[in-house]
Amino acid sequence: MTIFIIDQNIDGLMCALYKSFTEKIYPCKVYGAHVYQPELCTNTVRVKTDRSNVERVKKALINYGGDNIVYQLRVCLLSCDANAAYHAFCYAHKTLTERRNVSEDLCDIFVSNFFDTLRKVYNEKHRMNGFLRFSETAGGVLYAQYSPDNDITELIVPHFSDRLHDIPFVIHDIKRNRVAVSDGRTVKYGYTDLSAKINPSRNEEAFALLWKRYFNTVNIPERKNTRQQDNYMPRRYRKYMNETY
Amino acid sequence: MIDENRLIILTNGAKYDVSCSSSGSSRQNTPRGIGNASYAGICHSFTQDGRCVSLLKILMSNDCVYDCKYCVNRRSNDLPRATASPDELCELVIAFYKRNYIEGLFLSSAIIKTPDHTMELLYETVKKLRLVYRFNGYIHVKGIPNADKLLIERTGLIADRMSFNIELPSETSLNLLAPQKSKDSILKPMKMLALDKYYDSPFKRRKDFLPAGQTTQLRNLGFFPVEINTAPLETLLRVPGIGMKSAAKIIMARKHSIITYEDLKRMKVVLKRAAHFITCNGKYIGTRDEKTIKDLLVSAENTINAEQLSMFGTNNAALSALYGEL
Repeated sequence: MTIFIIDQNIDGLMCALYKSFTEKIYPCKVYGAHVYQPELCTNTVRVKTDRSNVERVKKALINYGGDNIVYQLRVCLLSCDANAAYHAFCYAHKTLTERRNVSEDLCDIFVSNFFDTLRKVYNEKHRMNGFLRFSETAGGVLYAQYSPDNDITELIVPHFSDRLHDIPFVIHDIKRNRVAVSDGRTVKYGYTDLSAKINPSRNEEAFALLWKRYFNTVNIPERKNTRQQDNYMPRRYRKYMNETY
Repeated sequence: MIDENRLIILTNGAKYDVSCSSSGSSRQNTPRGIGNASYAGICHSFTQDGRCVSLLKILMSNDCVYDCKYCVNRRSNDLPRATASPDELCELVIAFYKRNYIEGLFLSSAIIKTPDHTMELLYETVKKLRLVYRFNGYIHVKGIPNADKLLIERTGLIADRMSFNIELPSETSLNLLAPQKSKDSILKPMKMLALDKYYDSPFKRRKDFLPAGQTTQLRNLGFFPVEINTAPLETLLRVPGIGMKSAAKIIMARKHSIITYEDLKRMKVVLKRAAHFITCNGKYIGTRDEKTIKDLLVSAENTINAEQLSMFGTNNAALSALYGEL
């Protein structure tokens, strides 16, 4: 019973795969260091991230599993599921042992688990493209707070830099203290435990109010169906959306 | 900036329009521009009635010169009236879009003065958004019947979607209820748009009440069950409950290993109905009882005996409407 503890990022996963193949250990579980809770009767191995082995494993993965695989593994590791690292590991391991693209083998438990996790992250990313709310600061910077289930900040930023182009914006993940800051050209990622006090622009409040009015007006009260509303727009997201807050 | 009252009045006039899709266009952003269109469409919020809010659905004006009997905005109706200027609308769209409230604009209007004048205002708004504000988000414009062909064509060139309302089933009923409109004024621009490839009508998307295949499938019980692991694509697609997506997944997965019942479940193929029409690796898990299957298939249908009320008060009028005489 060996458990691998890895740094939950693509390099950490690559090193776990490298260790597994070179030392011929097949772990029964793989956890990211931040979610691991010690278990009884197991032998835990802390896999150190060593950049020198990363490229070799990546190359092999791309060779067998296609161009997309490294990106998919990266996205899977962003999941909040404690087993995400394990699902990613199993899928990558299967690709490397069978030396082929296993992505179509949907009956396989490893493959289906991997794609299930992946889909959940993608789904939340798509939702956040719509549910994120910016407010404008006096300096013209757009600031958005949110607290997604998965660590999707890096995934949603390209969508907004495409749209907003040269308007500077900040996306702040309150749950993980993660921020993405764009100055209108380049994006920088970082961590902060500061809570932002924003100084709203002159029209900010007025437009936020207009939006609230609009939201309440398009509703057709005779057709109330809050169950459907809850399904499409889970309540946990609404805290940061000004029309429902 | 547009004030609260007018926004509420103009939203109320447009909110019953079903169309709120922001999909189907993949317009790219331009240098120094703002916005793009996502091909899949994005929902930005959901109201209490469960509908998605994707576009800013709004009327330019609800101050109509027409007196169509079926319309809330008819001239003879006692209603607060409001009109927004193209500039106010542009400012609102950009402000909302920047804050990620909306995916774009859905713009319609009552007839202000003349159809041409109204269409001109709509065109001006869209043109301003695209050229002055460099807005590349989604724009859906309602065409105004009887407006100049050139104006409609030009608007079509810069909008993502355009549509006309088909209001009544026959010419006589149109004359009776909307005396200012003619059949040609509605159908002509639609035909024109169809030729120009901008044609889109909300009716295109209306799905048939019951998908055609289902009844024949029941009569064909001898044809079923089909074996998931060997059936060709066409056969898989005839199974109730298996659509294009599930069929594609099955065909993909069976190249690699035999598919069992548990595998289908894990692949998220909906088995509620399909289970009765398939075998997995020779195993049949459904029921053979025809009545149970029938009940399952029609459960989606609304079986309450509801009565369709008539717009026409008297019995005679209702009957003639029924026969299409009106």
